[in-house]
Amino acid sequence: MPRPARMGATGPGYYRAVASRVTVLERLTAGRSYPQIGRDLGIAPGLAYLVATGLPADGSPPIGHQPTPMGWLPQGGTHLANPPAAGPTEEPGLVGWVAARAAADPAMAAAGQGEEPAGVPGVGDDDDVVVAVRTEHHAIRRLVAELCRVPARGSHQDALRRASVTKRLGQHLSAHEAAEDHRLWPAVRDGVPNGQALARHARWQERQTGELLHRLSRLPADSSQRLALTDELLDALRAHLAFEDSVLLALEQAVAPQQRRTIGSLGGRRARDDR
Amino acid sequence: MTRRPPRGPVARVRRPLVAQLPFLRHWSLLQQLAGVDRPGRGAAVQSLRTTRLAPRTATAERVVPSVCPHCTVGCGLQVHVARGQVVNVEGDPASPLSRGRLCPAGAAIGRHLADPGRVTTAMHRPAGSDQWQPVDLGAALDLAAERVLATRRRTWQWADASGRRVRRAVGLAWLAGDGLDLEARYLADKLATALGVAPPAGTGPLAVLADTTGRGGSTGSLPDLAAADCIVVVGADLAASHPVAMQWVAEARAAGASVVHVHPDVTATSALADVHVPVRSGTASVLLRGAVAAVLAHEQWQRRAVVAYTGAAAVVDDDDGTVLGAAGGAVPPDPPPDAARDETLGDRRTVLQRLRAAVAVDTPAAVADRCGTPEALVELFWRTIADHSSGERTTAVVTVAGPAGPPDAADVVRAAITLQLLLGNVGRPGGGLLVLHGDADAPAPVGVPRTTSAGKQQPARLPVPADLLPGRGGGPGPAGPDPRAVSLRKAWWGAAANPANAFGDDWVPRPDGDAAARAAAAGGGWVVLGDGAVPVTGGGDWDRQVRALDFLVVHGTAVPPWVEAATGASGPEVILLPATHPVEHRGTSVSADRLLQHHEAAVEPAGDARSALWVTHQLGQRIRHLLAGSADEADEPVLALTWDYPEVAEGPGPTDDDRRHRPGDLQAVGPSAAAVLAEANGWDATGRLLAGPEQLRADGSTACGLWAVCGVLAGGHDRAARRPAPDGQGRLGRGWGWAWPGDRRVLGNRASADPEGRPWSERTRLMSWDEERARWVGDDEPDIDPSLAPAHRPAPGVPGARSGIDAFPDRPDGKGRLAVTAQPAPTTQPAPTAGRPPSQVETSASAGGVEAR
Repeated sequence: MPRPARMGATGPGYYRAVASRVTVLERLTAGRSYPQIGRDLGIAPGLAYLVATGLPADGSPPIGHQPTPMGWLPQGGTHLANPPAAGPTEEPGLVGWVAARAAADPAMAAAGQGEEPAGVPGVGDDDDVVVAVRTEHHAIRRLVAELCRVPARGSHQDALRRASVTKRLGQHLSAHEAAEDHRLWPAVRDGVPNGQALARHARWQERQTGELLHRLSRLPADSSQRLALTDELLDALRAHLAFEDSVLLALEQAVAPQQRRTIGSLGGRRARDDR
Repeated sequence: MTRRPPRGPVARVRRPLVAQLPFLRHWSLLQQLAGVDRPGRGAAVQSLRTTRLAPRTATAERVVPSVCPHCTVGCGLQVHVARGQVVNVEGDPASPLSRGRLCPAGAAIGRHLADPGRVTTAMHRPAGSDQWQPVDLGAALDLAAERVLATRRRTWQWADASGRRVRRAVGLAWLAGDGLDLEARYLADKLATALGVAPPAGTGPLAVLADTTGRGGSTGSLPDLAAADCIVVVGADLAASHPVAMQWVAEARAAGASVVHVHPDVTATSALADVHVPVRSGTASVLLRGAVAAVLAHEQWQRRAVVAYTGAAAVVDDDDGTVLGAAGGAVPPDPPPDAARDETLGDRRTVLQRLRAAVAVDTPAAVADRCGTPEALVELFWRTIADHSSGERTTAVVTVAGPAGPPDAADVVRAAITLQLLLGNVGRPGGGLLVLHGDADAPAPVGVPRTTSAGKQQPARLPVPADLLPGRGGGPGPAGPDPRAVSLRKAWWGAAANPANAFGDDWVPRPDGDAAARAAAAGGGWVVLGDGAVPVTGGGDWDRQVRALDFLVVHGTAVPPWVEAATGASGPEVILLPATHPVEHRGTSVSADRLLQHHEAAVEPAGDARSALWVTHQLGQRIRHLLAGSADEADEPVLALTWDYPEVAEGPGPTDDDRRHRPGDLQAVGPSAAAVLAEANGWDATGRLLAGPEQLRADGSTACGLWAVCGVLAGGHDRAARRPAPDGQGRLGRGWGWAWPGDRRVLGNRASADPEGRPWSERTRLMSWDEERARWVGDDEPDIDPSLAPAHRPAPGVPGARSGIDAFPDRPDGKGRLAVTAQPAPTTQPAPTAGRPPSQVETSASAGGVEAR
């Protein structure tokens, strides 16, 4: 059995001595300066000075015998002088080992390439307009999730992938909005109290996302502005979906299922075919 | 002091005398008069002895952050080390769980390490003998590997009596104490499963929680108890068994909360309680069922919360309301996720109405009769809880699993969570259900070194892979293969788990009931791991089972009493492996409130003592070596395991000081706990550590050994090692460690807001929907997709899709399950009494001493 590579053992420096008066004075006696002692103990040089002398390094007078000076911590303050604890992920070699494990299984990368069939529009053909819109929303959410999964500071490949998903999202959204205009908003205007205003608000949100998508489409895939714009787009989309969720719930409660069916299908496919 | 003090400058007059008699210099009166400290409240009155005192920490060379292993409260420790020895152990004042406090057992950790009775070499006791022989650690491990493999071959089973393929080794059981680190538990699970040790069919309190809320863990957190308006402590003397947890009960009471204590005896906890309800031992669950019945009968339940967040409205088509549910025989049965709903709750077949029918027999009179409690107290009990449960107020329930808790802990948990769901208390600040484990051994006199760390009993059980394997991930379900199950098998078997073999689906043994009992019946063997956390009590069935065994591998800091007792002709062969104390190795501890806390190694392991992680890894290596080249189909999963962890020192590793004070090779080298944790956290194809279980995929492009902890290492930063100062933590202690799943301190916290996303009241605000930002915001990590609007309803026919009111996303239907145990066993005891009848000493999986698998 091959012996696995030995990770760098945790040696001196991994642990630091406690910043007590004894340890600071010992080091002072050994001729080390306060900045050096601060580095040794993992604390600020001024704190080392305060620990050793009891005098604040800023020159202010020492606190007298008040029982509770301002800023006093009732549970004690030793944790403030303790050196920082090392995290286990700081073990040298860990990140490399994980990468090697992933690389040893090329099937993982291959499986990741076979993209899920997200973003195939035209699933919202249910008779019930509410069900149809929710199905469309599900597809949009999957695209949003896919967009979120692309690492922000990734490779050129990631940037291309992000651009491609954004493009698919844009196509999907325009088809979806056309379909909504066709069926959903008329139903809302007729069936839901204050429906006109709701539809207006949704239109305004759609214009916003449309504007952002348009700006994104004009940027090259590698552009540095894309990340911020994409975040803005995702926020706007989430707000829009949340708003439409509340509209759908109101519609569901205001209009009986039978009636919703007579409104007919969303006609997403039809709307796309028309274009 | 009759003479008048002399006038003038005292110091000058007295100087010659002071010089001759140095003690006069420290005479407080003279010092006062000298003007050093005229009021006599400071330096003047300090004695010579006091001036010479120095804190033990002053000479410490390093301070190591650690976590107390004794019970599952998870108190923070600061271990001071000098010259390779622990010189002082004290509570970490920054810990949000303990706030610097320690119970006597925790404070005695330093003594435990130096206990003269501690076992630090491997030992062997042949079958039928009572003589221990010290053996070389490597030889002991070789012997253990041989015994495991021999028993495995002898008791291998491809199919059970009904012909169902099970591929398991019925003669083997792996048991773990609850002080075991997450990494060791995970690795033991991996090895045992590959060997064919069947996962247990869970019936314990945590399995009930997994069944009712979707996660096998407490719903709340300890610091959150302080926000409760009423705290019900069921079946445990919390003040004695978990004194540090009791501080939160005391704090809530100081702020005006009512405390109710349900226990056979008047104890220290009852002394602090407003109401003490004495019940017969083992009938606490009956009292809670009675409360469920009364709350339903008096229409005191919270309708809006119940309709939105529980399965109350689901219609169970099967007309036979007595059909037992899958887990633990609960009624009413769990409806399928796509069951029809009647939100008026008028239908007789709805879960709520069926529950009403199931508890109809639990009238106050019947409860009073069975519990041996006056009817007036039964009435007061449920009324106190109901009065403190509303939009403005919340009640929390606390109970304990294991010997310190009620014998009927699983039934208590089921009834309590149902009561809490009905009253709308789950997911809200100061609400929910907290299940502590173990026992801090508080009654042990301070200063007596414990030869066994007796406290740790019940594992803070993560939904270990076992929960995923049977049925749910075994094959493609209606929603296709479970991404969590596929990712798990990718983590265990790497490239060997691929689409061609359904990602190693067949390599997983099918679940078993009580694996420990079955192994004993088959004359097999147990491997008991636990850093010394082995059952202290034994007795009854346990002792019989031990005597029926062929061999026993015990990893502990001492010989457990039940092993010592199993001598004579029928005694099994015992291989004892010396265990490290948790301050001698690094790893991640899991507390009862699901908090993962990293602990560092403070000192080198004593003698040959090794951690459970090290032992498991070595055992695996030896077993794989013995099986190398085997063409047997049964050995495939063992040989295909990914077992190549980078190696690091078990202890802190030699520092310059160690080299000076303890020359020689100090390093016991073992698998890196950080690497094992990384495997549990999971990674994607590019080797990036995953940020959360939502990133898991069923196509084999992600590997993740334990979905519940997925995200603890997100971005390569170990969140379990976070230890910020108290001022950076907030009320729930967020920022300290990491709580599974997804760092949520309160599970189901979607339910802290009403169905429209507004807080039930300002006083109980936790999470709420922010219209502007279209996000869930609040003091906790939302236990729902943060962008899922309250009004969101999923498209029909999308498996696993969640609505904006699904507060328990890991339940099949997203709703809390309302149920009570089908038929609680009738009690025959004459009157309330302490102590437990011998028949209730539990040995089964996750019910008592240890978790079996």
